Order: sequence, then structure tokens, then C-alpha cells
Amino acid sequence: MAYADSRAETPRGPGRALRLIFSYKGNRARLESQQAVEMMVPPSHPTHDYGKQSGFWFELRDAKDRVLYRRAMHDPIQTEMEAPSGDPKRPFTRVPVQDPQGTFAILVPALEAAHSVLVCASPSDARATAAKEIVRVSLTPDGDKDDTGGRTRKKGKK
Amino acid sequence: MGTSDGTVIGTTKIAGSGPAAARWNLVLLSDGYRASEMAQYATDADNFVAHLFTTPPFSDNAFFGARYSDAINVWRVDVSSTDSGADDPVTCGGTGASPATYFDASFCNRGIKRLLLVNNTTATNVANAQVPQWHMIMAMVNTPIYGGGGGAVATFSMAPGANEIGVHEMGHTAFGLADEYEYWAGCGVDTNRNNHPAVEPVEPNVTIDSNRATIKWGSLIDAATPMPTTSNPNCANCDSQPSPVPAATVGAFEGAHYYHCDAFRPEYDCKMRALNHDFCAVCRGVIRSTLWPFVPKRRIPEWDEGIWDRIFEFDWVSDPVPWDVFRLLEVLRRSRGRSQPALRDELSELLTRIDQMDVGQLRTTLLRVKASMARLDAASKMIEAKIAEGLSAGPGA
Repeated sequence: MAYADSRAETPRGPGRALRLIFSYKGNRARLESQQAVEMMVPPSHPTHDYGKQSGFWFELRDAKDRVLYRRAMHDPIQTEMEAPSGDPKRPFTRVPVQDPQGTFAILVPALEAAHSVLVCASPSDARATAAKEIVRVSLTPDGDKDDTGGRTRKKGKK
Repeated sequence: MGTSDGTVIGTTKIAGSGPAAARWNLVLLSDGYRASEMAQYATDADNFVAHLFTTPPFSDNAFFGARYSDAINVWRVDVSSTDSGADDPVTCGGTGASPATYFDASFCNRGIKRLLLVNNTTATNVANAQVPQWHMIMAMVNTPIYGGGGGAVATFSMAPGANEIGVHEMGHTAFGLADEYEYWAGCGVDTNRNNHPAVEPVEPNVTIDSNRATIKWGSLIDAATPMPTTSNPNCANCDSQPSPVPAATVGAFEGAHYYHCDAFRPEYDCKMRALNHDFCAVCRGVIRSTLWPFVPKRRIPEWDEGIWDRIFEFDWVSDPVPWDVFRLLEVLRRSRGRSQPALRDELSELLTRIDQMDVGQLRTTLLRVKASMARLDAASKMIEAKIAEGLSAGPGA
């Protein structure tokens, strides 16, 4: 993907957002790029009382690991696909994706207090079970390596 | 085949009134249209937007005459292809056509005849270059064969009715809505979709909880509606019973999220269950709340758009106070134009509903009202303080 990693020069504040592009293979995800964009983001979903739920969501966290922003998404990691059936009464059918891989994008507000982004997803072979953290990336200039199967892109580190 | 089989001609904003930085941006891409067919693509894009914007809640009033559709900028990206159409492999019973198109649109993905997909990476790169502020990307494929697909880039063909696939997929990708249908491969086909696992889905429009007091859309359920509203008598199959309640009744209808039992949807029908239905009330609410920050405030004649930010200095992302203020203002605006009997009937209905509540529900409702009033009180004081500071420089302040 032709995205520039612009974290170092990313000014933060109202009306600014970061678009993060992740690649995934199964439930392993890693950050490929991030781009600062002058745009508004959709409002946050509730930042509490969602433990042990199934599905997919991402969170923006501060240095004390408090959730600043959270959005749930519908299956950006495609382990199965929806297809039109052509039947007006039951208009869809679903089909498994063997060896799921691809990319997904998330959009977070470029808040001054933002420290990291965390992505949670249900296991690719058990979609209706509780989600767990699959990747965490640091938004600080030096970056941190995560320990959940993904990795951050480190900038300015030797 | 791919980007060598066409050209990105340019981008035109075909709907919307504000800058990309202040609106929710939908990007439409063309595939399988030759350069000589760009006028047809423009017509097709206009038709899709007209369909979308007449679909509730996009057609609903949002704020001082602005509709939720006014929150959206639609950008038509004109991309020509060498050939018309999309790949139609013979393995799925197709014609074997294999036109050279920019985004490589093809049917028969994963062996499913009508699963129409494009190259997502190419589509994302084009959208990113043309409209960096995109929130949703859709590819319109110039073929009369019915089909489409979801994911990061939603795809639909130009067959009659296929634009409904686009709107359904938008429900997933843009608004995080779940599928409300109760099957996976199909009714009578599935053998492992009897009972939903006992884990709550994160999506707002499906649940495993049919308890009136705790269900996540409980505030929309009338006290007279039975809970659960329907129960599937045979969990080995899809439930074929008709709705026992009038259309648009919100409750808990068993059969959702790809399972016959132990998962519930808010209404009997919804666009997230079957096409050519309205979105249910829960889905409409989710779409409205997502778009609300993007609704233009410019329609108050004497005020400029930025005044809201200057007065409130709020954070749209996390501050609920201005939302309540705007809702109150909208209620007041609507009340002004209505007859006294109509308002009296509405109040009477409200009082009847309160009268039917048990003590626990009433206590919960009163606590919510009290919390809302506290927030409104805080907002009023904040507004007064700002006005006193002279920050509300607009003549209408």
C-alpha cells in the first residue's frame, strides 16, 4: 500500500485523525502504515462494560492505559464472506475463507493524550467467542514492540 | 489485468455541502465502464445516491432542517476501464467473459456465483489518493448480472435491486451493524447453527439477552411488547412464523447473527436481515448517532458553522452534553409547529406508558431523566458563561 508513515510529523488536535492500516493473516495482525489526515472521526462507542464480548473493536489508550476512544467494527478480518444468494426471502449466504489474509484500516482521533492503539478480535476459528487483544501498537515516536503476535513499526529507533 | 487497463480520470463531489474535513465522506469508484460509458456511470451514481438518501434514517430530519444525508459528502471517482463488465467464470455457470477492467471486478469468488469483488488494495489506493478523508469506499460495477460483496470495499452491480446490497454492506462497514438473519449458508442447509454460543456480540443490533430490564435496546421496547417477542419452536431450523406484533415493533425476535436460537434481533424485519426493508429502529439509531457530528450546523441563518465549536469548545468525540442540548433544541423546534391536540395526545401516550411501568423501570427512567437534567443544567451554565465572556460573537447569539 502506498501510505507514508507520518507519525513523527503528525500534529495532533481537534479535526485530525490517524488512519492505521494493518495487514492480517488469520488472527495475527501487524501495522503496515499510518497516515495523518485532516478529518473528523465518528463518535466513540462506550468505553466501558464490554468485556467478554465477541466481535472486533479497537481502542485508543492514554499513557495510563485508559480508554480514550473505542469503535466496534463488523468483521474486518474476513474469515468468512457474505454473498448475495439471489433469493429475495433469504438474500444472503455465507462462505468460509481458507487461509484468511488481507488488510484493514481503522481511524482514530489524533488526540494529544493518545499513547497506543489496541485491536481486539474473536478467534478466527470461533467467531462467536470472546474477543481478545490481537495487536497493540504504540503511537509514541520511539514505538514499542508488542507481544501479541503483531508488531509495531518502530521509527527513530536504532 | 488491473491498473494498466484503465485510467483514473478525476473526482467530482456529487452530494454534500461541506469540506471533506468536516463531513462523512463516501467514495464511489467505477469499474467496468469504458471511457465512452462515463456518462452512464454518472447516472448510475446519481441513482444510487438518490436511493441511499431516501432510505431512513438518511432521509430523516437531524437539526434545524438539515437531514442526516446532509452529513455526507459523496465523491464520484471516475475510473475508466478498457472493457465493459466484470469477469464471469464458467465454473459458476457464467459466460466466461473476462473483460480488462481497472479494479479487476469478478463474480464467482469463493465459488459463489453472485459474490462480486474488486481488488481492495487498488480501490483503497485510489480512494486514498483522490479523497484522503474517506470513511467508506464502494465500487460500482458495470454489469447487469445481480451481485455484490462486502468487506473494506463494498461492491455491487448495476442489476435491478443490487443497490440494496450496497446499502446493506454500508450498514456493516460504515456503521458496524451485524447481520440479523438466522442462518449461515442457508435455511435447511446449516446443521451447526442451532444455538448461539453464550457470548454477547459487540454489535449493537444483535444480542443473546432477551431480558426486558437488561437488553441493550431496552429503552426502545414498549412495556406492552412481550419478551422475547418470538421464540423459535425448532432450533434445528429457521423460524418461519409470521410476526405476532405489528410491523416496526421493537422487541426481541429469536433468530439472528447466523443462529436459529439463543440470539435475538430488535425487529421482525430489517435491512440487516433482508433487503428491501427499512433499517430497524436500533440500526437507524446507530446510523444517526454515527453521522450526527457531521451534520452541518450552517442552516441557522445568522450563525456561521464554527460558532458551535467556539461556544461550546466541546469534544465531539466524547462529550455527551452538546448532544443533549441539540436534541432539546430539536424537540422545541418540532413542538412549535404542532397543534395543541397533537402535543396533548403525545403527552397522554407518554403518561400512559409511564403508568404501565413497574417500580423498578420507573426508578431507572427517573434516574435517566435526572442525569439528563443534570447534564442540561451544566450545559446551560456553560452556555451562559460563554455568552458572558463574549465568545458568542455571532449576531444570533
